Amino acid sequence: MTWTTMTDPIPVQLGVKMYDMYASGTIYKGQAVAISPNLSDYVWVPDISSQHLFGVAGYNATQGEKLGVWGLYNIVNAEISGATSAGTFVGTDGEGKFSPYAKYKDAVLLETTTTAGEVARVFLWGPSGAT
Amino acid sequence: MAWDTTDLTNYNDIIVQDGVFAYNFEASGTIYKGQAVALIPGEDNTVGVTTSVAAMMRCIGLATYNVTDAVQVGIAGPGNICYACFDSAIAVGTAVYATTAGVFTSTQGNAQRPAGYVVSLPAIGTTAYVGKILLL
Repeated sequence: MTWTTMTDPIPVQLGVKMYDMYASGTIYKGQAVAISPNLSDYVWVPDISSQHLFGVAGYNATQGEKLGVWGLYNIVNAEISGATSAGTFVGTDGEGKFSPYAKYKDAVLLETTTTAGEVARVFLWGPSGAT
Repeated sequence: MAWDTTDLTNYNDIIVQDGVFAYNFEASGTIYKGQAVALIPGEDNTVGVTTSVAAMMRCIGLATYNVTDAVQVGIAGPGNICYACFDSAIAVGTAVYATTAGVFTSTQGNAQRPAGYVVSLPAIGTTAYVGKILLL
């Protein structure tokens, strides 16, 4: 499945400030992003599920544009890849959504979802939260 | 060891150094100030002290005040240094794990993730040891 545009506000409860990064490729508001390999200060939507999470994009950006990213220790609205129970550890799915099948589960789902692409609250915990 | 309400009563503020803001969650059951709480699997936006070690592996921080069931509770989460209760005088720098009583121990149970590092040597109170923890 593909990315669905989010209309929800991204930040729910803020723990730390938004990071100022650059977009590698087109990135949509709400997509989970990782550090872009070999590109200083750039983030991207990894095309595989085996990169550690950096944060969630705060708005839309195209290649090379400035991009505000909500990083670790924030609670944000994000898209979930499918039906998943609250309390499940999740990571990036390769499309910008959060999935329990990611290699690195750097976030935890705070609300139960029932459909693919549903928006729910996620706590961006980092590697210390992964199992 | 069981949770004891007396040892943290002299500490008006659990948070020693706040790295990030406190988070708001709904309490599952009664929670006391300073108790380690975990996300409750399957319940939306809810934290509590459970009898399940597997659930306590989702320890997200400490309650900053007393609450009863279904009341909103402020949680000092990862990135904060707080006062907390420990089951013994655990050495500074040791990784600790949340127990089902809401205290911290150096004994890892059921492949638990570490909930924090000991920052100051816990000193014996009435029944528990009180020290500082960096929450992870």
